[in-house]
Amino acid sequence: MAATTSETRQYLTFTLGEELFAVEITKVREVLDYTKITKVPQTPEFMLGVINLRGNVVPVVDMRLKFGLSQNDRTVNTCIVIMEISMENEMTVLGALVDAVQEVFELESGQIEPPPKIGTWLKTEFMLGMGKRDDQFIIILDIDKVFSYTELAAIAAIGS
Amino acid sequence: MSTPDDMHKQAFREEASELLSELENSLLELEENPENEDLIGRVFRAMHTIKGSGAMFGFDEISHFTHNVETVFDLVRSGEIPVTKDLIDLTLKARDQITTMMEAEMGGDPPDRELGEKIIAGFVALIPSNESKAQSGPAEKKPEPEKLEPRTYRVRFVPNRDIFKSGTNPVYLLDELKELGDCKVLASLKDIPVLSQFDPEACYTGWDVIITTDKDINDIKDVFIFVEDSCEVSVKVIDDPVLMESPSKYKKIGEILVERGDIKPETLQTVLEEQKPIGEMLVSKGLVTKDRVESALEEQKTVKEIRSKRQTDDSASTVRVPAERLDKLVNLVGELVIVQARLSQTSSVKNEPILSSIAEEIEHLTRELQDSTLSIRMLPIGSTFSRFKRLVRDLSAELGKDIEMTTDGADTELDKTVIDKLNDPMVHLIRNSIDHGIEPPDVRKAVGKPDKGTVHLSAAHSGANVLITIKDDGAGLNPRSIKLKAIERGLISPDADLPEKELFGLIFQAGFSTAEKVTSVSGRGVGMDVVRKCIDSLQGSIDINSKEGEGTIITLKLPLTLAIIEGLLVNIGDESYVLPLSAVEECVELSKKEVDAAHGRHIINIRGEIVPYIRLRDLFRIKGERKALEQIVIARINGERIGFVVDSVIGQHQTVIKNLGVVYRKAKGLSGATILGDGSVALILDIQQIVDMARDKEVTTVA
Amino acid sequence: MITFNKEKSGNSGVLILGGEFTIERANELKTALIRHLDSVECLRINLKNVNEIDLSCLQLLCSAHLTALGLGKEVVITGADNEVFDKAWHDAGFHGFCCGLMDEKATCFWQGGEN
Repeated sequence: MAATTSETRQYLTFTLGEELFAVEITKVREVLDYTKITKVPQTPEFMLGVINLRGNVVPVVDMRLKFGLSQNDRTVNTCIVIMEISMENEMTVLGALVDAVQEVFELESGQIEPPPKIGTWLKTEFMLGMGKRDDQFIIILDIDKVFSYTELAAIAAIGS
Repeated sequence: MSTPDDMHKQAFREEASELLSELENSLLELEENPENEDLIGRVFRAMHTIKGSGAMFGFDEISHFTHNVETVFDLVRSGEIPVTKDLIDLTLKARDQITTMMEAEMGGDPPDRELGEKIIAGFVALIPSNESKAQSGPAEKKPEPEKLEPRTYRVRFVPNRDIFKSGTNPVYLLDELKELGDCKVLASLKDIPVLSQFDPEACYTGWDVIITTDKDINDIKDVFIFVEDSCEVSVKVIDDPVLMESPSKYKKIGEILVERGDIKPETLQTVLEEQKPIGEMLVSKGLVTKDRVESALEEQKTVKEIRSKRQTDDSASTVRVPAERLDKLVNLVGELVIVQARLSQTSSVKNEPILSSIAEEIEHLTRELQDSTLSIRMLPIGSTFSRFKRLVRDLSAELGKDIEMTTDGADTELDKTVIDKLNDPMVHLIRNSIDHGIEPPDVRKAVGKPDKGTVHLSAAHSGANVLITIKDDGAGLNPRSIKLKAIERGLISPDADLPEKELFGLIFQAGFSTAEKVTSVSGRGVGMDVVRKCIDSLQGSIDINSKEGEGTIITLKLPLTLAIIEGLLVNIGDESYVLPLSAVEECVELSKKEVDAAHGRHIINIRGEIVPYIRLRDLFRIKGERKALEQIVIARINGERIGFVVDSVIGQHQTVIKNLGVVYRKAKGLSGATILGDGSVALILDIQQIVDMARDKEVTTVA
Repeated sequence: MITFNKEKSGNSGVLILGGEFTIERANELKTALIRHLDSVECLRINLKNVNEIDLSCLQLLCSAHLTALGLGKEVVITGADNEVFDKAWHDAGFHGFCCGLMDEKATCFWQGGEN
């Protein structure tokens, strides 16, 4: 779909370990420094809990754990990317804990390769495609899929 | 996306559904007071509005259907048709039909046309056939009202700012008014802003119309029938028509000044009396003669009287606001409460007199703001009560029982959200009373009770709670059959010896139903456990009292509001939690010695009473070591005392409840979250659910 | 149609309104009034060619007058003998109040009955 029309979009990149990821900037609301997260009992490990975002209670997901990587120690670079996700036909605000936020850059749709069918450690359905920046691959995430209700609310099953 | 047309239709639907529920109430009241002209008028106006607006917005079917009903009620209004039970029955049916038609317009099931025709036929039959006008038109004039002496009225009409958007031209209404008699139309332009602030689609003009007519005051009011809900309309008789009939230029000036709001009627009066003001200035300039000023003064007096009367009317007026705006306001006030708590905390640390006094003042103001904000959401429960009237009426007819519903405390106020959620459980409880509680008339007669059974609903405040009781004088609950059934359903063991009250409580458990016969009324596959779930979700509790042969009293205890909770703040590990204070009875210490004495069972002896407890740390799998000295918060849940073990109890905490959101919708044992003074989030525990969770766990570990 | 002619002196101008002035054109009229009132000291509004005017536009004329008073400027209505306008003005009950617009000697609502 994306390949037929050539339009330029902006992406925010962040890292998890060595990997570089990107999400469309329109999905990102703001980036916060790491703050105390209140754990909600009986929820999966990657659901870190909730934070207070100016009076709103916002859930935070550990992206490393969500993608099956090992948990990292918090550093000064650790931050929470606040995003707007459409979940169950509702706009929901959600935080993603990442190792570091890199930059905002533009990509033409022509520069985006479809996700490879094999050889990725990440579920291909989570990817919109692959981009490249200075010889480094960037995984462009389909954040609505990553944060879909079924992905996150496996909660109850694990809880009980 | 939505066209203006859609918007109008939507507005019509909203208005109509409100009118329809009001109509139902009016009809039920009318049944009891068939002579009440005010009620008849209300029914007529509701039908008239639905018909008129329906036609205007293209709901022709509805408009057509309503036409005949309106015709009949016009005849009722003029006393040609009496109010009978049959008429009420028929009109209620018509009302339901209109509701169905409305729903069909919104994409619901199509209405039963045959039924509709039957209803119309019913109404047509009521219209005296020799009256040709009855066929020709509905709202046309009533049979020659006796000619009234011409009187003069002052009509004040201030349209809603948005009136243009609803497609209404207020000038047409003035034209209609002019047809009734001799009119003097005076626009009030005081609200017109300067160009830069001018919204081209808003109506800033209001009118005072002095009308002299031999028509009835109702005919004047009928002109504004479509707009009376959204606009300010008042019609007042001016008793001295002669005065009004001699218009002069400054009579208007006086008015203008008052209208503008530049001068209050009183001020104008004083100024005019005291020193040389406009009047004398005008006289001295030779523009007017003195007697004319006097005459203006005279009118000023009249105006003043009318104004002050009108002002009292205005104070009772209401504003319609979308619920989401209120929610937003409540949220903002919630934020403020949190920030204020931080301020107080900071000031107590700094110990600076000036800061402290500011903090105190802010605290005071915040509390007041919070109270008044929450009070905006408060609605009287009466509207819910009256909705049940219809239920009782229809159900008792269906079951062949004679039942009367009485209410008291209808003006008791509750948070809108609570009221909305209360409807279903109340319906269930009332159905139950009617179906299983109250006996058929012959049985009642046999046991010496009056034929007519009573269901009494009442509401009253009790501290931060509201008590709602549903009381019937029916057969009451039979503890023996409840026990047998509970044993049969495996809810209790056969040798259990439960006090009566706990036995009664069993009927709210899942899988229990006292109905031996399944009727269309209660046989819907849902038990009373739904009621309990619903009340639980409202942070409320149920109390049940019954005496065999005498009746049953069910009392629902509900918090005044769901937006704010009085909580008890506790700590477990690094996290803080809030328990609803309403359920908490006491806090006691749990020492290691006591734990050991119980030999692994989770019970504690409090002043000789054995109380089971739940370790929240274990249940929630919170990491870290248990403290040597823990605290138990003892709460009462469904009459049972249960302890919740926490690390420490911090204290009382009044807080705004935040939704945990979609992601955590399935998280158990939590009813929401709240933000603490330091900005961190604490979870609010749903203790009822926690008890259920712990029970389930016990069952699984045992098995 | 709205046309505007500025006089040579630059102090005054004539705004000629023509056609139907109903709520659909209220915004257009508002914009024109703001723009032209801004450019002159005395704005004459000629209504001779108006063949329909509704409440929304009548209100605007009043607002223009009010605005002018606030700025120490002048707005004068001309061509008010136009039957259509006269009827609309009377039907809406504006006569007797805002007539200062048309007749400087008459009482105007905004001028608080001073004149």
